[in-house]
Amino acid sequence: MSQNNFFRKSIIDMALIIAISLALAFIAHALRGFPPAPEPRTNELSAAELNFPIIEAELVEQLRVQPDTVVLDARAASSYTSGHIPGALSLPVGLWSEHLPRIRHQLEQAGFIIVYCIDLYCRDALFLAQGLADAGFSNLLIYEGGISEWRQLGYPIEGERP
Amino acid sequence: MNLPAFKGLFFSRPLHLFCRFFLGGLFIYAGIIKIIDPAGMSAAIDSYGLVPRFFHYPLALTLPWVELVAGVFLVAGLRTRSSALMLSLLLSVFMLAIIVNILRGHDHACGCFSSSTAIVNGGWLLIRDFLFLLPGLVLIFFNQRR
Repeated sequence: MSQNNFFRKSIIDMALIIAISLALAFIAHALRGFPPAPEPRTNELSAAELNFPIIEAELVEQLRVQPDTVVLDARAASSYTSGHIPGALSLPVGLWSEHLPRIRHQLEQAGFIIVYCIDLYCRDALFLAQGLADAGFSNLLIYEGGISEWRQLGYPIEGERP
Repeated sequence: MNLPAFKGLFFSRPLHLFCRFFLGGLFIYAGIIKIIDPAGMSAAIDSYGLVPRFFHYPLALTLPWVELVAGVFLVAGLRTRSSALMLSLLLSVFMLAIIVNILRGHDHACGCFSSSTAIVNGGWLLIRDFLFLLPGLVLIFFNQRR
């Protein structure tokens, strides 16, 4: 069979597989009743709904130099090491409770805790802030623009590889 | 190296049987586990942060069925090359999603063989998915009837 024929036949076959799958999915869910859609998780809520103040880059720049401000980077550790807001501490959202003891003391002393992640579309900062709020921390601020906006606006980056 | 014999290995029936049962079985298992828990699957899709929220649940209700049906086709030897291509394409899409998230530094759940939302290491996932892709490639490119 020529390669062209194979791909043409495969597209038809794959459409058949998808059609059978959709039909089976529909029948199965109709028989057992469509399960209810899951409850929205914490990180599906907006910052406003969670009552965390959202701040702009300019305020981050002013606050981060204050001795009682802690800036938290919610991204994966590998992203943190390739460049972060100067003085920020790494607290990857997926592992935050494991890493918390390392920086708990600093967080307890902090006047403000600023949390950021990648950009406007990244909800890791919100998720981390909610986790920290549940753990009893307050004065949490969200820098929604994240590292992308920070970089774009020309603010300093620490730990960036040349 | 005896090239024809080496090439013959890739066309051999036992290897094809192994590839079919391995890849097909893998997806049958993955599909069933996720069919049982659509809400968990939806949360795992959400954790990738790549698909608009509106599609999470419809995807969670249907994608595992595609995995299951394509897996059954492959194990049963029905439309073998096409079902191997289908599963390889699915694996490639998963790998692409993992690569995008590694590049943008976004941690996510796996959504592979369970609907758990525990965070996983993207690098290892990528290596594992690449190994899973190999049997599919053998079935697509070393087929007797091509």
